[in-house]
Amino acid sequence: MLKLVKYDFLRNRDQILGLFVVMVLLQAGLWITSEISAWGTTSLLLLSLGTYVTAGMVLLIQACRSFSYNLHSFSRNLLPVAPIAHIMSTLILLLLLLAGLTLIAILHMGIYLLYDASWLPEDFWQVLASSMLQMMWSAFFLMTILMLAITVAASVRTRGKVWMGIVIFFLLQNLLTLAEQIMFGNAAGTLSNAFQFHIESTVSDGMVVTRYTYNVWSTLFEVGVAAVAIWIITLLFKKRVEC
Amino acid sequence: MDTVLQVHEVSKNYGAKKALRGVSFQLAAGKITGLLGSNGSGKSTLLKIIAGLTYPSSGEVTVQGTRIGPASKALISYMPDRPLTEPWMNIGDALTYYADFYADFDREKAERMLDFMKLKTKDRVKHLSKGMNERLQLTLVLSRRASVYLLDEPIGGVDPVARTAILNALVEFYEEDSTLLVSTHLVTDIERIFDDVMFIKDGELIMHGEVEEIRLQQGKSIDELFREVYAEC
Repeated sequence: MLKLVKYDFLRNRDQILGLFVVMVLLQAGLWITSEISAWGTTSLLLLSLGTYVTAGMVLLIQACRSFSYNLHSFSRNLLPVAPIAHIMSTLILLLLLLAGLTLIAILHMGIYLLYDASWLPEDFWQVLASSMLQMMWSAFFLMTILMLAITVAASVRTRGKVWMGIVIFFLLQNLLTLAEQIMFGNAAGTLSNAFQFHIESTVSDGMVVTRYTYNVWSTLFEVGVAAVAIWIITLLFKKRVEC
Repeated sequence: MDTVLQVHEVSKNYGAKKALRGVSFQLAAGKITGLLGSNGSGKSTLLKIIAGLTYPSSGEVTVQGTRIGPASKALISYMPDRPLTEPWMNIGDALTYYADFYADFDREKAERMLDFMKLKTKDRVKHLSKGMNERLQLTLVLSRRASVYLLDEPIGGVDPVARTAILNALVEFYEEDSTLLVSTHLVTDIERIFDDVMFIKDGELIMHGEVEEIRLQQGKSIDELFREVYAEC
């Protein structure tokens, strides 16, 4: 399975490395601009966070393209490996790249703290670690739903498969969100949970980060849905998807 | 001789179109079989089903008793009508890719074949001509010690020099204890290497036999017979 991860990375390495370089340059540019324009720490933090989230979304799109390519690739489908390996390799590569992105973000934060640590709120690292883990899980979960939509669309022989995949994805996503809201309340869903914190800038104390409650049942529900999605993808891979 | 490849009543429908209609045959080890037919007769579909890239609507295919699936892919070496390599690779990367995934890949044989084909490991795949690319694909496919080799139009669209090189390589590097199934509609050039031939027309197998036997029975070459059978196609 790791060999498949290696070849998926090698195929896309130029785009991936390019993305990482652009993101690092953008962060440096944001920092310099914030110093010149005196934006303040909160604005810089939010913009930096926004850049990392955007880079994460680009990696997610890249993973979808790679999975879709693999579904129809002769060289890939001729390999004597189990269908589950094809599915997991895409997910593992995405998680590794997101972990790389997180590592860069932590290094970035470390460099920034060397420069100025006065603003750091008390429970910042706990909130950050919890949010990062939940965002990683959210990306994994979102990717399984996207892969399911792509595989279902690839399993039928009609025109407009791309549109079909998009419709299936939005239907699934909305149904799952609705189900989570009905079962676990308004703030359910791991992605929503990841952003359940509050940043407040005060004149006397610097910044305050406050964590809201976390719903573990919604995460467990998503783990169950992801497992079912992977099982359906494997089944379609074995029986329906053709090159 | 033991049966290596068994195709039993295989049909394939694409909507209302019937690409294959109840195709059945068996192939034994040690033979080169030509799968002959005009464009659209069902040759590529049949090879893709055997290779496990597409599924039959009905019927069954087994390789050494193994049904088509991940396990059979380790026994079959397939050269499709499109490249097996990826544009980012050089030839060395392509060999490493095969060595990484196929336990039966013989790197030393691959390097000998590259010499024979006048290819260099540093060459970028995306810079190869069509003829050179076909030689590379053939090198990758024949460098495996597989039970069944499937070649889909190995000389289609290449110049006469490349054709000769490819056919010579086939004869030189073919594993004699395996079975080789070659689909083509360019019968003139390739007829000399076949032991058996199968004629497929409109998805149906209409003839299967030894080349010498057919020549004696029909009193004409395989090429002449091909032109006669597919005259109106």
